Amino acid sequence: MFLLSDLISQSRELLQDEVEPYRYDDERLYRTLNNAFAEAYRLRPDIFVDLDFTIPFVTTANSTDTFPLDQQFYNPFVDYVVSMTEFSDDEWTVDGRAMAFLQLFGRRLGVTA
Amino acid sequence: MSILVSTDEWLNELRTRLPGISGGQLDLELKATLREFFTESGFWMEEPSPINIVANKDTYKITYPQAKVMGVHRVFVDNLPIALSTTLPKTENPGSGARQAYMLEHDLMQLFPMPSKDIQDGLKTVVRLNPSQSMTKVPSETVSHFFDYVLDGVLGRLYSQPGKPYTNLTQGVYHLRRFRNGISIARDIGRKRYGNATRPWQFPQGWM
Repeated sequence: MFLLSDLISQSRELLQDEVEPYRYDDERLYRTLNNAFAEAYRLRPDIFVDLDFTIPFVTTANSTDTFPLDQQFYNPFVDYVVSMTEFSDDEWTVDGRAMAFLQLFGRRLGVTA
Repeated sequence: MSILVSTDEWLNELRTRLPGISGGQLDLELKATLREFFTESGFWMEEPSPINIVANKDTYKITYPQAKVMGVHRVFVDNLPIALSTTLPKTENPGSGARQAYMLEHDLMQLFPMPSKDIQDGLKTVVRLNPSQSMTKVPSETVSHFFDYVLDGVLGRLYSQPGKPYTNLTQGVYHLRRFRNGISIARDIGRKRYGNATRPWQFPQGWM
């Protein structure tokens, strides 16, 4: 089972931000993850059936919690966190890379974002 | 009473055909398909536990454990069949016992004339059922006779949904057509109760 801390760690690998002090702190990545839940709800409300159609809200305090959705939807959330974080930082990244991750998020959810 | 079996067999086969579907969504659609199947075919019929007839009480609630009563097919009072009236019968003086029944609601029956004496286990019915929302089991005949048709129903519903990874409108139409065919077969089998004979003629009851 994937933990939320796994999702943040994997996002850091793709963001190349694994050495402290981080460029993007944990609070910021969890905020972006919350945006991902909201966006996924808009695109695929059916994957929230088991949560009674509530959108999860997570913080750094939830890092040891299990990823709340079906495990098959874990990867798109990594994509979204990477994408939106890179969009916010035009000093270090190329928009094309961020856009590629955003498109991957949509494709992996089975829709076009 | 039918033997009940789990619906997991459907879920396992459906998962292989619906990449990108969530478990919760699949469960909802299977329940919706089974609900439509039983509602439209009237295939699931059972005889609930007999009810005690009480003197001067003419309304009786018909229930069945873990399932919803959709309607009553046949009624017996003191082991004799009585007529199910489609209109509210005229009030009569209590005589030798109830001779007609009228459904006030899908599961609430009124007997005519008013029963005048207690009869232990006096009211027996044959009812049409639907699985309740929380029920995860169905009559075994549904799996043995209609497995593929129910599968078609779920696939048809899901393929027809817009904007999903498994959306396929052509396949949706194909599977829903097969599902409708399955409902017709189930309706026919339900009426004949697995026999080939036409429905037996019964002398009209309740007008004497």
